[in-house]
Amino acid sequence: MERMNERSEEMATKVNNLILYGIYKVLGAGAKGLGNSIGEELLNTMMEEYGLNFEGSSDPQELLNRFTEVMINTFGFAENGEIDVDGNKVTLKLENPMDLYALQLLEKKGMKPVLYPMANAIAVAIKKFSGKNVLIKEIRVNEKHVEVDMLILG
Amino acid sequence: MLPGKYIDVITDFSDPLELAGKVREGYLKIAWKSESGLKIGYALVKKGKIVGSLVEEVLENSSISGDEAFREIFDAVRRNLIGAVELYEADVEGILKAHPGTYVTLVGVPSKSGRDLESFLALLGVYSGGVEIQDGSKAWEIYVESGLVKAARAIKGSDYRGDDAIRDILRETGHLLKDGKYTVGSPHEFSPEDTVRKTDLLREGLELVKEKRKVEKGF
Amino acid sequence: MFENVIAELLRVDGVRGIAVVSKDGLLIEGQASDRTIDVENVAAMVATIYGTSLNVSKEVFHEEAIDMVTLESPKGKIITVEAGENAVLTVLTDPKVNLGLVRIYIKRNAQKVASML
Repeated sequence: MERMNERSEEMATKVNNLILYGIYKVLGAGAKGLGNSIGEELLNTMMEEYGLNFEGSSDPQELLNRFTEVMINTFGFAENGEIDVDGNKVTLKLENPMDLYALQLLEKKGMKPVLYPMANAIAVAIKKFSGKNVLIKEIRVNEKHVEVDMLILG
Repeated sequence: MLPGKYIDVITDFSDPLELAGKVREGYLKIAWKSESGLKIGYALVKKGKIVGSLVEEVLENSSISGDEAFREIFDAVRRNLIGAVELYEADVEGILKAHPGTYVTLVGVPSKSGRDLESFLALLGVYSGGVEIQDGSKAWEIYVESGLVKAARAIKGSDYRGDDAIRDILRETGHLLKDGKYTVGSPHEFSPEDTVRKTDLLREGLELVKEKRKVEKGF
Repeated sequence: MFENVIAELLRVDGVRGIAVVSKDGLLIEGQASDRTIDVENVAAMVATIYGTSLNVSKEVFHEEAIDMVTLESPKGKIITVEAGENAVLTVLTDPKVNLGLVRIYIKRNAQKVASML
């Protein structure tokens, strides 16, 4: 039974990766346009089903810290996370996140990732609670990290 | 829509109207959303000074001009509704001749805070709301409505209220010209004792001071 | 932040709605005269159409660059152009709009949006 569960999980991950690959293959840069909707769904799920709470937060920086902290410390989405802020430019650096394999697979197939649900969810949270728009400028994938550059608009 | 050549759009500013200094002859074009709709405002500029103004209501196709329009622009500035300012080069004299109603009578560029008499007088001409005035040792609050000072009181250094507070400010113009500053907004509520009867006394007094300084400079 | 762009385009005869949309599908700012339009939802679709059109261009013309994406329906047109590296500007018009005029205004304002981001 345990083996079956392991296999189901492995199969589900593979199927998800293939779906992602299929979307990228057909839509290319158009896949980026899905980012906000996916981020919104992820944020809603995190808030409704997992109790992620932003009450009383309206500062974009605070929202960013809170989201990252919960994703890492509560959900174990990545082993570690760092946020670098330079004015309105923010870089989110995640060490060994759960979706690293899927992103590496895309890159191996010559497709540059254009959406990153966690960053999109952060962007939606910042828009929802502080009213500020966030643009996701670049997603970089290497052997152990995913780095996302974001720009918070005034 | 006014004729003109688009030069630039600026989003990084502390006070949009200060960008008038960047325009030799032309206008600042701004737009904002308010309770009453989407508006476009034009502040016509000549040699860094605002000489004309027009505000158009985009969806209703109506407009206002002159001092009334400039008051509305300044109100949008004060409420931080302006996210971007477009700079245009244009024949301002030509626009003013074609649309005489756009002339504004105030001189200088009003600012939400400042230290000079000209910008304070310009502020009095367009602003509605509280203003705090202070020099090193004294401070006052006044309430302005469409160019008239409706209430005043001393908040530091003395306890004058109403017209007496205005006279107190005028007595201190020497200090104010040296070390004074003003900021829009007043944290306290005004009470009936603060009511000013001679609502144009402050403006007239300061205009006299300005004229006096001009004459002195001339000699 | 983009009220100037929205106000200028809304004054063009036949223009009924404008949206500045990030390429992630986030509605940065927009206004539509028809209140039944879910502008946020349309923003995500427009960003996807634009991005996918880039992919089509890459596949067919071997160049990932397009000038403009136009969707024509008997009830109106939707015109989308790139507004810098991170956003698109999209305009909803009446079916019989002066397309040449809209093109001039949308291009000019896309440049403004690009310089503001």
